[in-house]
Amino acid sequence: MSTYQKVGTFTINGGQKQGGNVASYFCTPDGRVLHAIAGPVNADVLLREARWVVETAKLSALDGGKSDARLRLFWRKAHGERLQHEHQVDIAQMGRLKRRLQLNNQGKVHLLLATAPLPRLEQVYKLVFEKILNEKVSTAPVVQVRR
Amino acid sequence: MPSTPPPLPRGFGEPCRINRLAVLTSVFASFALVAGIFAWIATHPRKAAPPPPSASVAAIDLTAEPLAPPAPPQARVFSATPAFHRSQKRDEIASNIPLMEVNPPSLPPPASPEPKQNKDPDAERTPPWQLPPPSKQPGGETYGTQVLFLNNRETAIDAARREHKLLFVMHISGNFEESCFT
Repeated sequence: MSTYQKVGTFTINGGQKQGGNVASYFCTPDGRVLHAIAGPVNADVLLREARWVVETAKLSALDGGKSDARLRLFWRKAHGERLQHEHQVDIAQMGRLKRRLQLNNQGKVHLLLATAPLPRLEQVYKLVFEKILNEKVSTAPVVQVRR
Repeated sequence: MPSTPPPLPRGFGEPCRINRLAVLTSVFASFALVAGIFAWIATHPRKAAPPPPSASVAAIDLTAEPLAPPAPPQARVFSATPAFHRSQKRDEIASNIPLMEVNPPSLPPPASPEPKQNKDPDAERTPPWQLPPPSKQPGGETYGTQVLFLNNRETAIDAARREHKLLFVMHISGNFEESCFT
């Protein structure tokens, strides 16, 4: 099931779009975020991430069962593994890092969901939209600037 | 004058030189051999050789046709009448059973959390797995994709919960309806 929600706005200046972004979330039916994609991606990447979520969710149902703690631990490990393999960041050694991490948007998403696995959507959407995508959550309509 | 008996012929009266042990051994061996043969015959009854096919055909033909009086001896005529082996009745029944592949009953539709309302009495009589699935698809649009986006998040949550699917939520800025600005 898919749905969308307007959380921000952008400006149309001279027919050109300025600002605006998109964040995609894969959630459980009760609104807990399994995975997120920050920013626009092409169809292949979206499909790859969707498949990863579906397969990992199946595995989590097998491994974690109904236990909330075990599910959180499972998804923490899943995002931690991707963070390590794709961004070379070991979440177990995060406290000993002395340098500032240079992560792209997707790396930040993995870091967020490995640190706080299975959050509710309303707990993280502002963080994703404002801190990762550098957009402002707004209910304002699209601003059209006329010259 | 005492008479002396005539001397016995040579070899007469001497002790028997037959080796009794060898004789006894051979007798026992022959007995054992005979007993073994009898035992083998007892444990391996002779299987009756199957009658030749022509004999069985003749037997079946005789039982199938009424007995006719013996015909007078005629000149030997070689008739080439094909004789078919009639299959048994059990085989005919087994081979004529129509193959019926029955599909397993479809799974019952997932229970909806909605409260029971006025239902069709016919629908209550039919088994639940034969009822058509709920055809009410919540309204939404695909926006040029193959993904149906529902307009309402609560509706999407309900549908995902009902169908045991994951929920895909897109947070956007701006007008989603205008494709040039999304």
